[in-house]
Amino acid sequence: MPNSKLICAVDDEEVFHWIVRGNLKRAKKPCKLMSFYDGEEIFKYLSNGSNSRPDIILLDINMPICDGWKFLENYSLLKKSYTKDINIYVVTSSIDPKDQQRAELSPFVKEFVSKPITVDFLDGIID
Amino acid sequence: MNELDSNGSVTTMKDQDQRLRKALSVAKMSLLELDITNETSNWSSHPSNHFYELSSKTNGSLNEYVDLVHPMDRNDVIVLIKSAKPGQKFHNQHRVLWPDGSYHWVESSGMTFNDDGILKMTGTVQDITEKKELEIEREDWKIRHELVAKAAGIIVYDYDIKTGDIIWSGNVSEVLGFTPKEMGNIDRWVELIHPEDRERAFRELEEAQKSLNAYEVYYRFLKSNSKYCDIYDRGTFLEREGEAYRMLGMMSDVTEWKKSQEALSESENRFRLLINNLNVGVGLYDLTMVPIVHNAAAYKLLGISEKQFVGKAAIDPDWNVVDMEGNRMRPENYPIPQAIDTKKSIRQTVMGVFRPKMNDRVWLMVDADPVLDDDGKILHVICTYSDFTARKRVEEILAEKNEQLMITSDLVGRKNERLLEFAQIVSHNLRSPLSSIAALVDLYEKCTLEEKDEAISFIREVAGKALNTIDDLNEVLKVQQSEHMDLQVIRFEDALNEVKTLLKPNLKEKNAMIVSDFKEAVKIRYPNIYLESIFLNLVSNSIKYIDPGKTPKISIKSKRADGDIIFEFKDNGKGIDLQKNGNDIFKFGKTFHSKNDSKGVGLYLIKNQIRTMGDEIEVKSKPDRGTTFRIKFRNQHAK
Repeated sequence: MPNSKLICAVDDEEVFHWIVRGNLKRAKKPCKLMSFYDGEEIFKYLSNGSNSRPDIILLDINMPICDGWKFLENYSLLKKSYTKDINIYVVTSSIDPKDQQRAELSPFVKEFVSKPITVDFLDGIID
Repeated sequence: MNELDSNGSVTTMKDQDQRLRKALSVAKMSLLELDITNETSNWSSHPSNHFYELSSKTNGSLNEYVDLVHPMDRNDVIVLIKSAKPGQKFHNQHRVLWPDGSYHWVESSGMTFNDDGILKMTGTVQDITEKKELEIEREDWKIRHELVAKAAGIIVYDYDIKTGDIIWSGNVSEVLGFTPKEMGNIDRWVELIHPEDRERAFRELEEAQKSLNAYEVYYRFLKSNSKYCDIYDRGTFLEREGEAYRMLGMMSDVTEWKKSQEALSESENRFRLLINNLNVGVGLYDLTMVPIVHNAAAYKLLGISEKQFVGKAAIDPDWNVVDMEGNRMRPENYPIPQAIDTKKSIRQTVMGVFRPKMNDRVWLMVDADPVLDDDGKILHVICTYSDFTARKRVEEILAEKNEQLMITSDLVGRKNERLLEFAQIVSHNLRSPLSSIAALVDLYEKCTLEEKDEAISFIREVAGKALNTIDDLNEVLKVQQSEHMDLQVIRFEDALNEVKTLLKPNLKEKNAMIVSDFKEAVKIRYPNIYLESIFLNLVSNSIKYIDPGKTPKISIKSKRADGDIIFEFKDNGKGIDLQKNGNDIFKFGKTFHSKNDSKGVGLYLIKNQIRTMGDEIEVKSKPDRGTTFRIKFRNQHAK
């Protein structure tokens, strides 16, 4: 599937990845999914130039070792030319307006989304 | 003298003449015959006569005598002589130059007659100098007296007791509207006195007259306009052989004075009444702080008697004065010395004064106001005291209530803060599993059979997690609800042993080693369950977060520092990167090691417990270098 998009899901909860995978199977367009369990893992992945660049990152906030906020800080260290086509969606169980505000203040965050995520949402962002 | 007149000769009756001479000499009198026709004078010639020297000087010449007459009287004398006609009586007073150089008043009287064609004036001449001078002086006094009486607006009376006549002078008409004549005698005086005062005035007059004491009395007296005025009457008696015969005195109209006096005393009475019935103490102090006047309330408030107070220093060491905050007040900071010092009003100083007599403390609100003269010099200090005790008590109650309120509000604030935190935890940590369940259920319907099993097992897992979270939150709630935990005296050793028993399987599994030193602080006063929770969570973390292949080593130590106990817990676990996670380490649901059964509750829980007790916990850690927790248990004084 040469044209299919690459989605990186970053969440410490295994169930989240399972749900995303399950929903993607039912999405209109086929996608590749990679799972990361904290901010450090995904950052390491992105830092390695030989890895394929994701089109979409689904980023949880509350994670051990390196949480979503920390990741976003580190993310700014990456080259702009590399990050400019990556859409980051903050996907969290939080409905705290403060979290939403903070996420929307980040120049890299496309949208703040409260869990649970649905097929419709995924269809929307893949398109 | 008749004999002299009828016989025309004095030499015929020798004896009689001798006696006459003597009498004339004593009476400073001389017989005199002036021969106007021959211009000669003929005096009694005996040397003992009062006029002997004078007559010798004139050498019997009429003209020479006339020359000696006082220039002012001389003309009268010349006219008298020149106009003398036979059968006419003459009478004259004039001054004549006495041989000693002074002028004497002389009075001459007699008759002129024709003696064989010669005109003669025959009669007596008498030296009346003393009498005349007295008369002049009396006239002078009378004039002066009248002037004074008029000027003073007083009435002067001269009462002849025997006849009852009164001579009125002075300001009679101005004061009473009567002429002196209309004033009349003593009966009239009595009649004009107000009927109610009459008897008293008259009785006192009789008594004064009898005792010869001064008469001094006030009475109302009728004026010509039928109105009464107030009279002050003062008189003295002249006595002869112990009996008053004359009374001299003055009456003055004191109506206005009496009115103002009455008004003054009434206003003074009212003022006294007001001051003494004030509930506020008022005092007047001199510059040495000695009280001059005080009202009753002042003594009462200060708990002393008037005798103890007035005239003595205003500062009694027994008062043991304290200020609003209960600190001892230095005498120089009292309001009166300050008012004297600054010349300004010192307002609303609150003083707690100990009353030795009553053995209590009264709170006074004191104002001190300096009284300055026109030059700004301080004369007195007026000081007012009001009883502040009731207000002070109210204030104390208020302060107490306020403090309670502050504590309550602080408590409420803290509770509120935790409630908010709790609500966040609930919304976050419960929302997470629930949203997963919702998504899983949604997927379930579209799943293959194989996937369905997987979905169910996820649902089970997530639901279990949610339940655990609720249980954890319940633990947290328990801590927060028990604000007033019972304190127990616990040996650290005992608490540690309890935990060792609880975690026995885990400790054994990992071969964990625990070294403890509680020698310095053996015991602590703390809620038992909190201390156990602290031990349990810290020890179980140390075992849980240990690198594989490593043996957990824990060392625990208790120390004393300024009444606090410092509790140190050290392990050799994975450690936490505090630079990354410093803010989150004690937060609920924060985990720092991936793929573990960590829930992020333990540290949150003990932090809450420690905070509830007003104590502090801090942490030092580096990845792979272990973790050190330091807890400061406050107010743990060794007994």
